[in-house]
Amino acid sequence: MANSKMADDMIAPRMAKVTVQFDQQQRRLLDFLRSEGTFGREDGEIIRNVVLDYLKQKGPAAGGKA
Amino acid sequence: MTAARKARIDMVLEPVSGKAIPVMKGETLRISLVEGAQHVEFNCFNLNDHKEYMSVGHMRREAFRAGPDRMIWSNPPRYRPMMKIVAMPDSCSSDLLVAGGMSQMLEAQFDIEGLPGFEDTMQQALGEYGLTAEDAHDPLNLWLNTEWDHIGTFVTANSGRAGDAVDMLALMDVLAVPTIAAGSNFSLSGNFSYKPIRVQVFESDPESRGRADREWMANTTLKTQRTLDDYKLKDIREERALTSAGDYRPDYVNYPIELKDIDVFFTSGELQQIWPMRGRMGATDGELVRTLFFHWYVENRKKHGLRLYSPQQLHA
Repeated sequence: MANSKMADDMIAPRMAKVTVQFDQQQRRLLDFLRSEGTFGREDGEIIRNVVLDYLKQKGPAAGGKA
Repeated sequence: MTAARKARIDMVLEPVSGKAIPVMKGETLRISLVEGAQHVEFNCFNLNDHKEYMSVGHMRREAFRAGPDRMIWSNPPRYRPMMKIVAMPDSCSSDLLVAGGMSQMLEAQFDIEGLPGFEDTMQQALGEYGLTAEDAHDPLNLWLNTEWDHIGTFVTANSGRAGDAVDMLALMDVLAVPTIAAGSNFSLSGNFSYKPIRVQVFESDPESRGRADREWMANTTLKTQRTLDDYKLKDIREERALTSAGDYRPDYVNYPIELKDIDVFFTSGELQQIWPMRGRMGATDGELVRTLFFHWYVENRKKHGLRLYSPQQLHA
């Protein structure tokens, strides 16, 4: 059992927390995306998946003009 | 425009003059050049509420020039379509950058007193309706060949030709005020001479009224296009001197800002993809993640931008 737990810890990627501030108007965009159901339910989950999709879309060219 | 519509107003304006003309919804205003190149400065007011007037600054947000199928927008927070430009020849260069020519500038440049400025001509035309020089607003410039560079704007030779005509369909009842641009005789704006212009108002017909109705309906659908009923203060101030109303309490929109901390978890590998952008897109990881979120949203979900402007898109 102990060996199995140790193996899981070795396989699971280590997660780092980033705290992001959204104001009440910005959070409405999270509500829109939540209603789509594609990016998750929780605010942090939605932001994470959107950022990952952005990186996937842009690849090495990420960081262009908005 | 259908040829059969009757002109209820047909006049020639001689230099240096203008005319305030009511144009009712569904009617068409035509401004045309009689002898050739002449810069025209144009103002426009809601005939039933002069505090609503054309906002050249906000028209400029769509592009630096107006043209066919573009709107004469009123000042926010109303931002309503007052007129629609339905015809403008290529030889008419319009301009939304240049403010009305000032007599002070002409005096400073040429040391001649008595040269009228935009405000001088406009206030004479507006006076018929009790408006003053201070009610004049930045003009829509017709037949003004402006260009721009890294310093600012400059004027090149006027490309207008005799017979050129600009048609504008009224989408609300307006007071339209075309004037012959002051200073045209001292500038390339008029190729150093004044010339008369012709102004006509064509009566509405069922087709033009229907078109005006459709344009109005299609372009007044935004909840933020406020009306006078939405204003906190509705009365027009009469006193010139400004004094504080001590008991006044503003109701700012979206105030106060309420920030919420949201925890977002990334793997170290994901963060390594993000970090190269740190600094230029956000000083902290939190700012960077928010910026990337908005980049994605703008590119994937934003409905449209003014640079991609069309009335249907803007109000979809």
